[in-house]
Amino acid sequence: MAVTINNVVKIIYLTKENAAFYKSGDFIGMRYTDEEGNESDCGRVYFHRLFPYTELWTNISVMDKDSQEFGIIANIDDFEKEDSELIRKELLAKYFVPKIKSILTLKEKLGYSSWTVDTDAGVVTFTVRDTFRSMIRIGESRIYVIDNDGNRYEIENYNKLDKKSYKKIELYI
Amino acid sequence: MEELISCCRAFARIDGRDVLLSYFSFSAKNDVYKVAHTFEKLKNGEECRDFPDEAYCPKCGRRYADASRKFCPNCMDRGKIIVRMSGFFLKYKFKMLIILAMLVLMSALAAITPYITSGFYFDEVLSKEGSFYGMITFVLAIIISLRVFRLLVNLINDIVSTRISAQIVNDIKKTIFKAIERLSVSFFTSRSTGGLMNQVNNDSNRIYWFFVDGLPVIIINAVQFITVFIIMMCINPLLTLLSLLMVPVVAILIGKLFRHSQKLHFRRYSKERSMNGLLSDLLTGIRVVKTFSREKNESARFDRASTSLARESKRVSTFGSTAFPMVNQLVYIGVVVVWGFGGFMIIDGSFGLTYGMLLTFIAYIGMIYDPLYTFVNMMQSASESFSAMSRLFEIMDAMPEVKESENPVHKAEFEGRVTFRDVKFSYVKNRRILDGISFDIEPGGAIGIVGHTGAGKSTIANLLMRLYDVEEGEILIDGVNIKDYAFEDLHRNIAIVSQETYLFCGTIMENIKYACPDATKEQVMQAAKAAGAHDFIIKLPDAYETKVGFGYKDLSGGERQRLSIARALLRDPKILILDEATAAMDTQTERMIQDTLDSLAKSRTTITIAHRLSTLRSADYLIVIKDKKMPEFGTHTELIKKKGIYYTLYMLQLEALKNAGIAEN
Repeated sequence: MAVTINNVVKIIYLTKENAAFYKSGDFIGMRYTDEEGNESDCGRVYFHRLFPYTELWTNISVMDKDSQEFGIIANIDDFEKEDSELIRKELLAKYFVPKIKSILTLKEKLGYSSWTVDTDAGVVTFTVRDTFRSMIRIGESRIYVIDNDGNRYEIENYNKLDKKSYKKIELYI
Repeated sequence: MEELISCCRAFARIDGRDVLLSYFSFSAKNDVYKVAHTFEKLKNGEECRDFPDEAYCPKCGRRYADASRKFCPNCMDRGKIIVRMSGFFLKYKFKMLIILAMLVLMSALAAITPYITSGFYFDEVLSKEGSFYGMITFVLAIIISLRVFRLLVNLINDIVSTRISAQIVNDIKKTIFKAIERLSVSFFTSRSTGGLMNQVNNDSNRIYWFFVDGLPVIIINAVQFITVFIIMMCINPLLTLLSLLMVPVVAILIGKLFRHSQKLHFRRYSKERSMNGLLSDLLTGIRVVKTFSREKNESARFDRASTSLARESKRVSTFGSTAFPMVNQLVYIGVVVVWGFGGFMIIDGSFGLTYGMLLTFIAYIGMIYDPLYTFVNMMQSASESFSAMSRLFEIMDAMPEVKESENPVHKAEFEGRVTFRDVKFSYVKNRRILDGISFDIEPGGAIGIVGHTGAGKSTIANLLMRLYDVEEGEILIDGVNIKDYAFEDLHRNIAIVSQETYLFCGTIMENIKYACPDATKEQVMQAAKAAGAHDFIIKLPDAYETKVGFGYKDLSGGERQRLSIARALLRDPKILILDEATAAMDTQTERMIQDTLDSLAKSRTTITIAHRLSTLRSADYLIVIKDKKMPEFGTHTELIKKKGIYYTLYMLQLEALKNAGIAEN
């Protein structure tokens, strides 16, 4: 039999058959059963989206505190509802990024731009250094703005912004 | 504290259980850190440190864009920036005054010329009632003289401008570079090299432009606008107001069109940058493209980028060739109105308007509109210049994180005793890299540092070199805190050879002599021999005079490392740090260099960091770094007996060597 990469490297997929999640205080723990049927408690686990811009609930890496991967969840909805809700809540907290609904003011001065925006988490004012380079452009119309402190704000679709907001960021997109 | 993607969360450990306290944005990270730090100190009964609240602008209450220099772009006055920046030009004040005087003269001549060539010529020379009736030759002489004078003024302006422009740009570049150079390493790790290069090169040109081209032209145009307006009002106020009817419309329109044009230019620039990036990427990686037979795909990708650029370029030229001529038509409407009303006034004989005056008027209308174009056109460039000036001050005002003591201790030659006392350090707050590291090395001693990638081994070297300062604890050399030593003495006595070697553009000789410019050729050759570099250097056609560095002879990783070792050895430091210094070499070369280094190590303190444990065979002691701590410390034999982390690493490597058929001595 020819040796392929599949024979040498195995991705461990976590499924409802081999993994179970539980709430440990304010965090999430995991119990894992290996191929031989040995069950172990992995303690607190951390979730990380492998494709954070394009896949929200699929391909989720599960790691320990030192970023050592236990395995990958192909789709969190494959788990029992209780488990998938736990993971979903944790991912929502980890990837919390306010979504910009409208741009109230945007003024550029001396290499910094000052923004006041209305987001789904309320109105917020922030400063962006080197505005053009501080934007992550995803696909055709999605943008992440990263402020001076490293906070991210998402514009889901700049074509759907109101006219006034669009005009304010037109130069940067 | 745990950093998430766009926010953090704080939790407390209560009776061994982690309890979530709060989620907060990155902006509040420092405040939470202060709370956590103070709580920790209070818990341990230690004295609390004061954290002065300096993060907010007292004027507008917003967070500083740059807290280290209390910079708030919102409240920064552009006037102050210009005044501060003017300091750079004081050196050239005489030449700058000449340029300004020439520009004022040119402006005055430009304002006078239409009057002489039209109004004066028709009313005073060609008209029988004129004071200079029939004196055509005389007036022509005046017109030609004015033209020649204007040419001379222009020439003087050009000569002076050209002479000082290169000097000023050079001065600004030097100032920016000096300001950057004095900053600590942490500044460079948070910024891209490309960005800094751009800053040194482009910002100096932008600042120069504002003071030598922009500001004078703005002043001259403002003067021209006011002067022409006054002359026109003196000739005929009614006609002046009529001719200026279109000014607000044209001004608003020009403003809007320029903004749109700017947007189109920006888009084209963005496409151009993407295409250039792609081109550079493809040409650099052409081997990979060919290896994976991706020529067709890459060709299609380039096609798309190129077509996209062509489309944007077409938009820019279409807009340029249609929009602005249309504005000119509006200006022309103003002229037609003046022709009409002026004509009626002349026929009617009202307002004392003459044919010559009307002609002068028409000529001046254009001169009223010109400054409008200039102002709007300059807005973007002026704004870029302000940003460049602000960036320059940002760097000039930035305080280096690692500062030399005000009264430094001077010591020409160290003995070489190194002491780390409970050293704690993090590159990023709350993400500790080293936590309580303590060890002692006797003068002339040799220690080896072992640990996994990213364990913090190189950080120990960086701290000893004072590229960063410890967060807590202290590092002593010969019993003195390294913070108290003069930088020059510290860096003269310590040399580091790291895995990432850098060769400057120049000859091999110059590169080895970099740290010791007075070294003789013989000393350089000795150092090269000790580092195992001499043998490969003599095989090169130009030997020690071979040009290396960007754009020249490409040396292999091992060869570069050998030059780097030679550079360090030539300095003859009392403390030598070898950070994976021989990692890029084959085992045989490494062994040969290691033998030389071992003999040289006898008279100096040596710290060796290596993955390959065989590299550390001559170390007196070994330190194992894991999870920010130093769990093992001892001789090779002691650590093997302990059967801990070192033992595991050693056995793994031994096994690997056996499998590869290489026996370890």
